[in-house]
Amino acid sequence: MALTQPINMRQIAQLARLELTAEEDLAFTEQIDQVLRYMDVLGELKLEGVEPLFQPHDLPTAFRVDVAHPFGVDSNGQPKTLASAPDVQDSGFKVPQIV
Amino acid sequence: MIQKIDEIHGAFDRREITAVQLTKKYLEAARASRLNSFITLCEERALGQARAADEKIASHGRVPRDSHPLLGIPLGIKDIFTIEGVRTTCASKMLDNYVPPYTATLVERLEAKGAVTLGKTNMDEFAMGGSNENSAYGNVLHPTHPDRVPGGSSGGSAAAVGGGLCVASIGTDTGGSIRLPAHYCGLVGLKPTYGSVSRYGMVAFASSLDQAGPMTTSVRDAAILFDAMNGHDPRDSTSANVPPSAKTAAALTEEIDWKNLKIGVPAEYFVEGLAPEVEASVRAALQWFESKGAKLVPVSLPHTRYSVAVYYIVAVSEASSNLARIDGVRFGVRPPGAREATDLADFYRKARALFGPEVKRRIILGTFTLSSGYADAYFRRACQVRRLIRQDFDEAFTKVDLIAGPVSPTTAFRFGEKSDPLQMYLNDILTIPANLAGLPALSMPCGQDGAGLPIGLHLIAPPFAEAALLQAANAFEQGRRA
Repeated sequence: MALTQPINMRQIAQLARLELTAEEDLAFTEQIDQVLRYMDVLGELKLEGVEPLFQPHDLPTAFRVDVAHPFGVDSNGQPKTLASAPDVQDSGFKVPQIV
Repeated sequence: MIQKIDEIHGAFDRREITAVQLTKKYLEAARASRLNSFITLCEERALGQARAADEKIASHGRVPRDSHPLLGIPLGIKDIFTIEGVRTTCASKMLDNYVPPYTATLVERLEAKGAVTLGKTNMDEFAMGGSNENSAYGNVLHPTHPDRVPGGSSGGSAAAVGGGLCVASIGTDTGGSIRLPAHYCGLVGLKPTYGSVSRYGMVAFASSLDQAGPMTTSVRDAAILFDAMNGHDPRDSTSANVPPSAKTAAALTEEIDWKNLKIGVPAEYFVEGLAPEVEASVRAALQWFESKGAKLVPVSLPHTRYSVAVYYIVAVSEASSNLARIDGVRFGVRPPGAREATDLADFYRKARALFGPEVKRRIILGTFTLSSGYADAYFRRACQVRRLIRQDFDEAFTKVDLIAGPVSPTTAFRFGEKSDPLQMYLNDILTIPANLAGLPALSMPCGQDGAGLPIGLHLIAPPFAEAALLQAANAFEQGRRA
């Protein structure tokens, strides 16, 4: 069974929140098409009844105590989590207006 | 420069050199090096740790090896691990200025055992690559053959050790990123069992595959480092809740029951395209084990041929999800275009423009394999085949104690030699299966080709059997030297 599906690069790039140049669009379309054709090999196998393996070991769900561990503040009293933020306003992360 | 932990500790005990002197020597070597193996040198941190090490040695009269097995040992840490206050780039322009507010568990553990963090090593961007040609900070050179790649993605960690710029280093292995550069550079590289070393503070590429491990010049040093870094961490929900292995190094010299040691040799690992010199070296290593009394047993891992396809669906799917957080909002670089964006969708597209081509390619592929209408055909199917690959190993390990073979079909190749992505991906066929099945595996030197390029022996063990794996590796290393 062939798995290969044509990839709509524009739509996938939009989903991935990536802006591709015309050259990238062209190169990726060809390269990803080649990779997807290679992945057709998985179509050879009969997989009815085979449970997918998402984690290599069957680990139980790890619960933890619902307690916050804040990173604290720096010497200026600013939260450490904001130290590498590209833009900050009033102790929050500043982004463009969305509504 | 001395590069074995025991020898360094002996020299500290005899007051032949201090930890500060040793650290300064390595810092000088790293600064003068042309290998491009470090992105950031942590000079102040390293010298502070070295001074603390010297004080401890002075107060104890000698190195307190039990409590501080890494005292004064300068290490290179792959630039994928966070250290509070130290720039962590993942070799990406997206994180060029990222200074994290917290430290990875692995780094905390190594430093608590006395290690000196010399610097952050170069790598393929977000650990995506097998040759270290995908770093935003430039290629890393092979330590002895500068026209060749050092392997990737932990290429900086490998070149730094191979080039004598640190005693040992830490890498990460998602599909072979420790073992491949160890094979190319003639080092010991251990990928531990999935879940045995905490991933907290290790920037995620593919969460169900990523695992950190040591890269060293000897099996014993790999065991010492593994003992210092493994163990349950409640901050990593995939960390295995099994008792930590703290005595692997001490157990190395225990006598091996050779007559009862069975080593599986999978026909599927002696693939078409395997370089004759690589095959000859690996076969000679197998004969050495046989000469000691071990039994070589043919085993079959029939789904090996599907592993590259499975891996490049699972890994890129997980990566497309993990890298969604790199969006220029909370940390990292916000390019000028994003600052001028007028809506959030446009902002994200502009903010994520600094990813390199391989990362973009994998995010696109992973977004596709997880997208509505295709996720069953690709992601789910890949995970079903992943189970078959693990079952192959489960079955093989009912008959044998270890599996042995080559690490990669060839020795280190030249820069630019593998130009198309699929060709590069196929190079991982022998290392990927251990990641998909979560098994411990290592690469260790077993020979050289005609050009003097190192060849690695690949040993794979059942889950959490690092002690047996390292014991066999140590016996081979010592036996070959004798």
